[in-house]
Amino acid sequence: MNKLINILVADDEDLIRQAISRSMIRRGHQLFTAINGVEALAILNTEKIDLIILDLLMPEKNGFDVLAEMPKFLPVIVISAFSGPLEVDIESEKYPQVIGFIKKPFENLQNLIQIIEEKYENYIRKI
Amino acid sequence: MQVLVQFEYKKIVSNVVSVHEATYSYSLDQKIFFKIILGDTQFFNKIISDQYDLSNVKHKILILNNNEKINAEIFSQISPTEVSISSDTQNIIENINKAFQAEKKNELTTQTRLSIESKRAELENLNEFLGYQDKERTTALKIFHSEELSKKQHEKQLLFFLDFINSNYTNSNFLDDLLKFLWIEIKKMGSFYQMGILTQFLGEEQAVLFQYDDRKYYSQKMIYFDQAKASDSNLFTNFLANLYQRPVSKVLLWQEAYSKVQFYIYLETQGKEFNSLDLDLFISERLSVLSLIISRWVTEKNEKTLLKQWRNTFKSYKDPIHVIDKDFNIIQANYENLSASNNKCYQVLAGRKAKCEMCPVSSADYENIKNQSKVTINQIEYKVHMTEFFVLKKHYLLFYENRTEINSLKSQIIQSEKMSTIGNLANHLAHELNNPLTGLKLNTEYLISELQNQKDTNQQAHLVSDLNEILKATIRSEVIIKDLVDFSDSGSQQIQEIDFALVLKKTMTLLKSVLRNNRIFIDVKSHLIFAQPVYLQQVLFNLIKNSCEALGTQGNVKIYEGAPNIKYSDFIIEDNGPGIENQFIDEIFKPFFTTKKEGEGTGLGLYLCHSLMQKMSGELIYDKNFKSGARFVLRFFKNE
Repeated sequence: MNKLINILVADDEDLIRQAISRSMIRRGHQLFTAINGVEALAILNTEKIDLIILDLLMPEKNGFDVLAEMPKFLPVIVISAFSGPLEVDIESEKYPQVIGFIKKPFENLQNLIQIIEEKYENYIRKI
Repeated sequence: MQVLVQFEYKKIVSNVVSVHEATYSYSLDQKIFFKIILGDTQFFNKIISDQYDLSNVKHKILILNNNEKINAEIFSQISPTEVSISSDTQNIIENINKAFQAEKKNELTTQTRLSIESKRAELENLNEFLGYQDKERTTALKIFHSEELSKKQHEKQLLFFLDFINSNYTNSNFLDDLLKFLWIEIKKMGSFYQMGILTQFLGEEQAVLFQYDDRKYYSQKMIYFDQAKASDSNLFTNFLANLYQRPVSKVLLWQEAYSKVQFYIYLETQGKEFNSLDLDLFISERLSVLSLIISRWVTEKNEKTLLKQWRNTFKSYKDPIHVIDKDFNIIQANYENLSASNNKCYQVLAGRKAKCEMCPVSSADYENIKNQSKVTINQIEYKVHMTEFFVLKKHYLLFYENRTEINSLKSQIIQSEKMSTIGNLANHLAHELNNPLTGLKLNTEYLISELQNQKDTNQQAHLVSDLNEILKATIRSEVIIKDLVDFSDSGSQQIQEIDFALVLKKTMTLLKSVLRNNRIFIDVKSHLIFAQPVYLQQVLFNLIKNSCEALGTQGNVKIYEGAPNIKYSDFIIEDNGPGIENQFIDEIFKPFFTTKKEGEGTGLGLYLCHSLMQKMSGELIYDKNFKSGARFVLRFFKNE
């Protein structure tokens, strides 16, 4: 990915948040992290964010709350251990800003980063 | 009597003739049949010339004149019976008298003969009549005699029949013998397909049917019978046709009823002739006795069966049960009650010297302690249930409910309940563990890649290998969690075509802790079968776990494919452990059967495997012939 962007990673699991943000930083991106929905929404208010990587199960405010309250033009990639009907829900028109869903557990870090970047590039190309 | 006399001798003769009341003529009349002719030669010549047949004349008295010579020819023609000289009147009279007397005698003889003949004819008639009468009487006598005889025979038969019943009733196969006896007697009166006897007690829907036929085939069964069906012979024939599921020929039916029993005898005819009168008499005479004896036999047998059932029921109760009187003497018990002198229930059963504490018998406030009357016998806690009844004196029926056992049963149920919750728990646990595990993995990966970017080679190699170890551990943890989730996943219940080897491989990852001490040899190639993956996994898990637990520290488990078969695929799980004792083989697939110590096994494992295999239309077989351990065969049938 040529373009360097501002990314917000919202996940209550420290290790996951750390691993993703560290890898992204190494790729040259600007990273913001949030441990719950409240923090995520606060950052969205103050910072200019290009892509949100969002976990669904978080304390305080969960991923769905964030999706509902955030501006609808910001692209979001959802990461969650949930699967099944939820997957369909999230990619439906109810949350148009969701551009991808990645199921936990991830196969490996390299792969995960690659998928995230691909999904974002696809999104940029579409608009 | 007609007499012909020559006129010249009329005077001489007339006296004599009048004496003899004869009619006499003086001239010849051809039509008259003369008995006596008297005359001289000329007279006779004239008669001969007149062609009168002299041969029929009995007395021919020829009178010769004095010195008259007669030639032999004329003499032989006349052939006189008497000859007199005309001058000798005396002689003439003598001769004629003689003739008369002879003729009279002759006549008398004839008359007598005739009368005798007629008498004889009369007598013969009489004789004939008498003979006829005699014959009739003899016939009547004969008939009477044979009737008497048959009556006697009849009575004899009947007596024999009654005697038979009397002497054989106590035999165990009495009814067999009775039916055979009846059948033989009945067969003497005609030919029949079969004989049937139906006994129905009042108010019961079911009736007992006995059948007997020529094949000496005797059967007894319970059938549903409606009395209305016996009201009409057609209805009854239809009923029999329905019962035997075949056409039935003409049926003869007799019935008898008294207070509580309806009794029927029927004979299925062969359409040939039979002596219906005799038969009717034969059956009618025996009907009431038969109905009484057979219904009695049936009742007694029912009673015996009931009694046996009751005794067996009593005995089969697994905990103690007994009937005692108010002084605690045992009347009946399902446990051994050896000493006769020591007959108190608290002594025999509980080994106490006085009645058990909380015993409900003779307890004043029974109503209050009814629900808490617990008795401890040989360290086992029992709940006592009591019922009173009155037969001559008051009796108590007590049965003891093993609380300890019930508690353990409860724990078993809880255990099985737990098993199903493990599924839910596994799901939850998997989600909870996945998060930190993912983080751990991602970070390790990051660190590895970070280290690889640095130039400091010495330190780097160490760290990378350590981190790789961490990474491997996390990946292994993930696999375990994934398999655990698959194992407890109740999602796809459908039977599908899956690879047995793959399911086995997944299951093995979950069994590592159990397998620690044992070696396991797997020789299963990729093999598609129809099964439900989760069920199959549970079956494999349980069977392999069981084997490993039975093996102890040393031993091995083999899993391999059975001999190929067109209809099914076999997979064999076998160990070289102690195997299953013969006495338990029939029990192993029953729920709550376990040989493990209390708390160690639920006794549900094999039962679960068995029922899961059945759910997958497969079979779980224990190979009894395998002696050097336990061998289970999982059989999956191929779809046609």
